[in-house]
Amino acid sequence: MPLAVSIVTGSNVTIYRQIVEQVCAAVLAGKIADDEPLPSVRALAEELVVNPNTVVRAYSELAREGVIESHPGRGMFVSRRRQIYSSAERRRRMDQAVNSLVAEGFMLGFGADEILEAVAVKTRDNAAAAASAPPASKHPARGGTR
Amino acid sequence: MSGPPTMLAPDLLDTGRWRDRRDAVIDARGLTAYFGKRPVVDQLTMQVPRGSVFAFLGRNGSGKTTTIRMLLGMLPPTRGSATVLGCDCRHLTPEIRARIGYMSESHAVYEWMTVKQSGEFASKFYPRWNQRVFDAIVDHFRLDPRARSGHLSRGERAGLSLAITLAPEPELLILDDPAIGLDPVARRSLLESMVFATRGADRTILFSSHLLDDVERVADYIAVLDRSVLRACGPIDAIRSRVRQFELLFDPQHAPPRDVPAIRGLLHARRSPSTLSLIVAAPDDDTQRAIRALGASTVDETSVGFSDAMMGYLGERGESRSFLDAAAFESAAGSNS
Amino acid sequence: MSQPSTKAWRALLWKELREAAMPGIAALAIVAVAQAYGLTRDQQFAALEGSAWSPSDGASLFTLVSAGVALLIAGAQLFRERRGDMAAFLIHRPVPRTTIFWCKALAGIAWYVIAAGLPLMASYVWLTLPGRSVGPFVPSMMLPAIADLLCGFVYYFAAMVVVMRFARWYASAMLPIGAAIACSMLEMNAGTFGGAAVRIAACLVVMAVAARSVFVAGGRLEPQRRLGRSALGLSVGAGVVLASVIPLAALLVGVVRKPAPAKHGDASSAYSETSLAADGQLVRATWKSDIDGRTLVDVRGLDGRPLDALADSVRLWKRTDVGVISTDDIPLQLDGDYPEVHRRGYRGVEDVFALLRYPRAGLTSWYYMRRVRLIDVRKNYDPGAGHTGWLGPDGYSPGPRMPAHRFAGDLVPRLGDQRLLAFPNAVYRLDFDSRSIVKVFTAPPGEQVVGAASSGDSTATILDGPRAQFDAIATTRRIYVQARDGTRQLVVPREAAASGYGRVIVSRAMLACGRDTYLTYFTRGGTLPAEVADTASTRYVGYRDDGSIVARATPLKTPLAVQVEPIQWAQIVIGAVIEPAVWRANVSFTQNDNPAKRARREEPAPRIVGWVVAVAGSIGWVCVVLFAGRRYAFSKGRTITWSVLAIAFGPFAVALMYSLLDLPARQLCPACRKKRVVTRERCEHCGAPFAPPPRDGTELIEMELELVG
Repeated sequence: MPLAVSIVTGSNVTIYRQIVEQVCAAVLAGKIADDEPLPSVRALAEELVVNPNTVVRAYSELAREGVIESHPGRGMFVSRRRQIYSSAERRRRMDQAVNSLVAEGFMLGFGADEILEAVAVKTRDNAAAAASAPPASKHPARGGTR
Repeated sequence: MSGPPTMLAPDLLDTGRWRDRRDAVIDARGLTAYFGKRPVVDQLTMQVPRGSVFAFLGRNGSGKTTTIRMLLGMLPPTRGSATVLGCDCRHLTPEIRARIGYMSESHAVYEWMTVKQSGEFASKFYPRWNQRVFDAIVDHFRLDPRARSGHLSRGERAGLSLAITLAPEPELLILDDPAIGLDPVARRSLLESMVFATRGADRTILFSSHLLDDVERVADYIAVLDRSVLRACGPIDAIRSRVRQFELLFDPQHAPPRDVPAIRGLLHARRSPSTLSLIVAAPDDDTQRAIRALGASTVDETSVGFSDAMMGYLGERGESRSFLDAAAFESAAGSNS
Repeated sequence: MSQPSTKAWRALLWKELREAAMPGIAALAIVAVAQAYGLTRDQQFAALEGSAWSPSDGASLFTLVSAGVALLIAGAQLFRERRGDMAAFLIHRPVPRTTIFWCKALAGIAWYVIAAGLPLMASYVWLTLPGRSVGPFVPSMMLPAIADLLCGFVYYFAAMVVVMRFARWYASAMLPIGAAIACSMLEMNAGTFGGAAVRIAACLVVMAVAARSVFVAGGRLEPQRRLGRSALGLSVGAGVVLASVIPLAALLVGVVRKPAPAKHGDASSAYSETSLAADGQLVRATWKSDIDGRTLVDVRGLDGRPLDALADSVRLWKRTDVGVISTDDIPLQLDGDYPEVHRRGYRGVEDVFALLRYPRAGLTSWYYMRRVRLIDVRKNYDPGAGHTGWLGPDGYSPGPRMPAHRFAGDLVPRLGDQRLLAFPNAVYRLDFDSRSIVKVFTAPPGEQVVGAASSGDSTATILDGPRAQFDAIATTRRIYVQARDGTRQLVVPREAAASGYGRVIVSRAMLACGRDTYLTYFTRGGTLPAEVADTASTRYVGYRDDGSIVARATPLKTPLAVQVEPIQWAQIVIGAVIEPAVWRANVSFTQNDNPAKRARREEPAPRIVGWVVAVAGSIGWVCVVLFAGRRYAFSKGRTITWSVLAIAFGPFAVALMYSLLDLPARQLCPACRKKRVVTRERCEHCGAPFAPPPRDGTELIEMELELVG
């Protein structure tokens, strides 16, 4: 499955961070197979039309965070043992997502119960889908404490 | 966002003085140019590290082109000096010139030559001329080799000019506002070619531009010229991370002050009846204190996007007076992606 | 690759040739049209001067046009590439700028040679075709045009300097063209083509060095080397002098020398002269001249008694029934300097031919061709204009075939329009109507003909009879007077007292038969030194028919009523201030103007004052240089150089200094509060460096490289 990264300039997020986040998201969503190398620095830089140093930086950040690892002579691969975020970071991200969900829900005129209901339904569906998926992509469950 | 340096690059977000042990391909010391009584470039001191993509930002007439002309020995500096590839810029030897590719603002080509002839003509001067590079770029810009250069569109001319500049495989590439006057498609082709050009080992690219999105994509260092004076210079993210935005929310009873007080490093201010938004360069504790003294109920400090950070440098200092002006700026900065 | 490869040379040359093609072809068209016009216009002039397009004294159409197209080509070549991106695109190549310059210059000059040379060659071919040229044409008449063509090279480089040089005012940018004009003037004043070529070559070297230097320096003075600066200074300086000569002359003549008060009114307009009266005596006639001509006041004998009866004879001088009949002037000196036979060197046609008979409608014109030593008889106006036949010592032969028998020796100077043709050993009489020639005189052994003239040829009224119609021939030893049929009437030795005199006139008083032949010797054109010639009297010698002397008179020359001009102090002072010291010294030693003026100037008072003012003026000009040197922080060497130039050349040096140098802007030094130049790293007064540009608190300088190695 190809890695689709799209860059937006002029935003608050730096380009290298955009790459990091989109690769993370792709890995989390299971869009990259374990045995499939990530595009080379040069290839990704030319595809995205960004400075190769930026890609280098994104990859090294990803490597530092343990999302990907370098196999000398073969390229970059998704790490087998992924520790994508620290637990504090995971907490923060979760809060951010919940904040925006709740704010949006209230703004659209839903009550608290309706929002909770919707979250429960969605969570159930995703879990069912994950159970039927190949075991390689069960990683989100690794730290999943709800 | 800071961490230990990695093996690949110095930590670009380190906010301290950044040092690098790479040598500089361009080293300007107090470079100054006067046109009549007016300094057009005022004591410019900067270094361009080897292997970097160095963007030179500034509005029209801020002295970018003059600086580049001086670096290329087209214009003798009034004062100061610069070395390019270790050679005094006033006396660039043919050997040094062979290692510098230069593309001028107007994408100068000989209009009576065909695309093919232009390449053949240029190739006679360079022993290391790489015809494959020339052909690749001509092809990338979809140029007909038999077309006369004078009949090319602006973007096509830029492509031809770029092909002529890149084919000798220069060690240092100096592009004076390469994207000026190009349509989005040609601009993208140009950027792609520039990224392509970084394939050359240790090739340094110095380009001037006022297109912030392009700069954000491809540059790793920037220098900002503001009315002939160098205001900012350094790794792009280091510069960007040191420009901060402060959102001040005022109670209805306390309207924001009518005049924006003199805050050191203030680049830009925007206001609504109850808010004041300040973009400040390199705020320190004094700055923080001065901002908090304005009497806002809440002060929110955030980072800004690259374009917003630069807009503060490139636009007029202080407060934008009318909403319309601010909106025009925003759209100009935001429409390019 | 410090030497540019041949590939680079060839590529550059190809590019420059191709780019100069448009202006080159335009120039070719311009020259062709001008030549076509010049070759066909004004046949009268063409007949007199050989060919109308061939330059005479001054500039011809070709001089102007060739200079113009040289300027045009250089301007067109450089204008687009002198500054900005096109210049950068041209310069930023791995070849020395000198190479780029020479390729450009070679291409431009090649086009110039084509543009100016092709029409010239076409003109040559056209003129050699039979029936095309109205006047006679020989190849050497191309030389002036060829010199002009060469001079165009100087204009070409001058235009390069003009286009490339940064000049502080627009007018001063044009100054190098003045140097090219000066070169044209030098070329025109050269006597020989070789001399002209040497002068052009000298100017060309200077101008080409200047153009190269300016081009390589991108138009600025500062980056140039000393040789280039000197050449540029020379070429701009020539322009400064040329441009200031006219206003200076106007200042001196028009403003300072106001017309003197009417002191020389009536008295000076009356003058007296000695003349021969019809009865054979010398008289002194006093004339008064006014706006309508001259009127005779009175006639007196040389002893002073009034001879009013002779008034008519004197007044109607050339009327043979009442007066005197004379020949034209007869030259007496082989190496004399006669203004009438003014030779203009290679630019004139005098060395090619002598015009014997002016072209007139319906008549043939006659030219003595010096090289082939034959007379070219030409028709000017008929449909079949051009050469009709040759006339040699044996007579006329129609058609282009030249007779074998030629005239011997060089033609003797002719001081009038006459029908005698004198050679060292023989004198011939021409008959224009019957196209015949008669030998009327053969020089006796040991003598050489130096001049000949006949009476009546150039006078309107001709009296019949051998006493009125005679030929006079001067040889190195004698004067011969003979009738038209060759009968000797008088042979007398040349007056010993008049040796060194320039010319003689033979006159006859028609009412004094038998003792009537007077020889009047004049100094003009002779070999006497100028001071002697100015004061020596005209000598009159009268002879009887048997050769004995009737009278000899050397009336004292009436001194010209010398204007006692007041010493023009203003002129002396202003002249001394602006006159460069080197000119002043030069003029003082070698000047050669009229003695009265010279004496006047050499009077002690004006001379001393002149020199004192000149020295003071030099000091003043040096002060101007020192002031500029202080203001613009000249280096010591530069101050000295310009001071020396100011001493030598006065205002010209100062004007050159201001038009040549890049004078830097100045700003206030924060340390010592004085104005300092912006080009120096440190203040020339207090040594303080420049303050960094004011900071506004937004500075984010995050970078300081530690240079490796």
